[in-house]
Amino acid sequence: MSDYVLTVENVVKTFGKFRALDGASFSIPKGTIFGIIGPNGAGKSTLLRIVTSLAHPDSGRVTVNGINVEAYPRKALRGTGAIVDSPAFYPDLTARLNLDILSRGTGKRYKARREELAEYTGIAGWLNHRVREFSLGMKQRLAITLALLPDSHFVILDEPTNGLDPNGIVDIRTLIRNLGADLGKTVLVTSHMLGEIEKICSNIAILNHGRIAAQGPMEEILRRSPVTLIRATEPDRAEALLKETFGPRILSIRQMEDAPGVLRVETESECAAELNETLVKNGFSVSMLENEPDRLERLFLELTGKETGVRNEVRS
Amino acid sequence: MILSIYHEIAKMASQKKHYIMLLGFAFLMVMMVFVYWKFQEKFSEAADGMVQGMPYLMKMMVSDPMKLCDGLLFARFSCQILFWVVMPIFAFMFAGESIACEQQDGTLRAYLSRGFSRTQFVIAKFIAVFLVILFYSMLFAALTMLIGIVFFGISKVQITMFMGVPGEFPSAGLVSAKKAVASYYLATLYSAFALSAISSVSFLISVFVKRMTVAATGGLVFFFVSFIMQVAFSQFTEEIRPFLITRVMDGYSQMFTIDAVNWDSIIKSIAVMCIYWSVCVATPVVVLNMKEY
Repeated sequence: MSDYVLTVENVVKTFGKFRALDGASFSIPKGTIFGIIGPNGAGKSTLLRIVTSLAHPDSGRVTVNGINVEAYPRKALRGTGAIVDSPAFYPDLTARLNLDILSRGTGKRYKARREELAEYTGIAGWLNHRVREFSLGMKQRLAITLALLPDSHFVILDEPTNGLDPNGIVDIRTLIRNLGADLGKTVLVTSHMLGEIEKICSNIAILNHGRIAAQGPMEEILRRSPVTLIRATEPDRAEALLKETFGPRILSIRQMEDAPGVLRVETESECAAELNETLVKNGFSVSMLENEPDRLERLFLELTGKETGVRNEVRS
Repeated sequence: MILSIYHEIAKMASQKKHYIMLLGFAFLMVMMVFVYWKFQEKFSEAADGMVQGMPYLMKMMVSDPMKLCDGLLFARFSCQILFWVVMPIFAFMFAGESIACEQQDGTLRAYLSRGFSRTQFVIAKFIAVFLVILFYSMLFAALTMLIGIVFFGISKVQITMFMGVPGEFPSAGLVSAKKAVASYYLATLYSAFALSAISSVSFLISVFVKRMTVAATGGLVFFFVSFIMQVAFSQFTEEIRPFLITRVMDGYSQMFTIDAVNWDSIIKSIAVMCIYWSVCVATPVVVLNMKEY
């Protein structure tokens, strides 16, 4: 039995001349909450559609629990619950009937599980209500309940916090995190809200132009090139001192154009304390030092070919 | 499959168009009761002017004309309009929205993302549409007869005229009420099958479009063009007439003629029905299995 719930190997998908996926490859280990982030048009939705057999790849292979989705969609997706795009339900039917229809669950065991999960996701009191009465947040909860039924071990959620108010975002975030912690589910989440992904996921993949630009455990990925922002007196001299002292350990150092007096130091490994100590020992006054502000956002922007935003640097 | 059909029926049962159907039916009945009263008057006047020495049917018309214009005749009159005009519209609405609506709302994507059988999905939908049409056909036929009997009573003998395809009325004759009721329900049953074949055109269109109205209207246009070709230009459309969608309703009219059933015509109608069923169900199965969502 494979250690990976989902394996995507060199998947290519084109629409006319547009290459939506260009050899995307990644794997999702069991029991992880895996996030996929990417700019608009990166291929996230196409990828999810291929994983859930809604679309066919031009080449490459997608397996769920070792079973080829293209060849055996029903068998491969038996234990998979997916919400692709926004949650869609039959508005004139009750939430309970929606769950029954869209999960095709039957039997006493299923019914008991349905009630249990509805309790868990906080919609137990709403099961007899028509879905047209539901708020977007309630629909998201219902969608998560549906994704867990009849007995899913792998849950795919496409932009689950999209359109929710701050309270709703916190609720859904907690719920998704608990899916892994309490129920032991493997969850695949896509989102353009990087902060959400950073808070929810244990592993991530960054998709850009149909390719996986980076993937792996969150901490490992974010540790790759720590950046420290330093505001010190005499920045020119400080820059020269740090270059001389740290040598090749500093990958890049520059003064930020839009934040005068702030040095942006990209180092090989975590060394904010050492940088501070060196500057202070040499008589510099350090008024601000922050380690890796908006780490995921910075990494994301770097990998997707955009400069780190000034807004984030100044704020930090 | 049974579970899928049950789910499809549950989806259809939740729609508000049922109220529109019932209102439409009620409006038709009110109009038909009024029209039938007027018809009775004209029929009675015509009979008064007739002379003795006629065949039995005519004698009966003269001696007690109102006995022929009873509630069952009212029901059979009403059903001509019900099954030729009103029910096809409803059938197109149900068939047209079946797949198109799910595409529009995104529920099709939600359903298919689980890897469920697409073939079973299409077939279950088609069967569910047929069952709903059958239910309403039987319900409306029963209600129409009930309204007819309440307002106009029922006599022991029934006249067989006024029952054919427009322009092809069979000759007048008399049958027992029992036999007439049996043929009435047989015709209704047949009409449910015919309507499912007719509405299958909308079913076919619904797999290609995301708008229920487009699918339903497309089917309606196809139906009424066929109807005009069959009725208004029949002398010019002999070659294509056997294949027109409206051809399937010929069998329904034949059932109404009671004694003079033309089985040859019915078999041909059923053959045409099978062609439409096959094409209009097989195509969505193939398309849905190939299409990406």
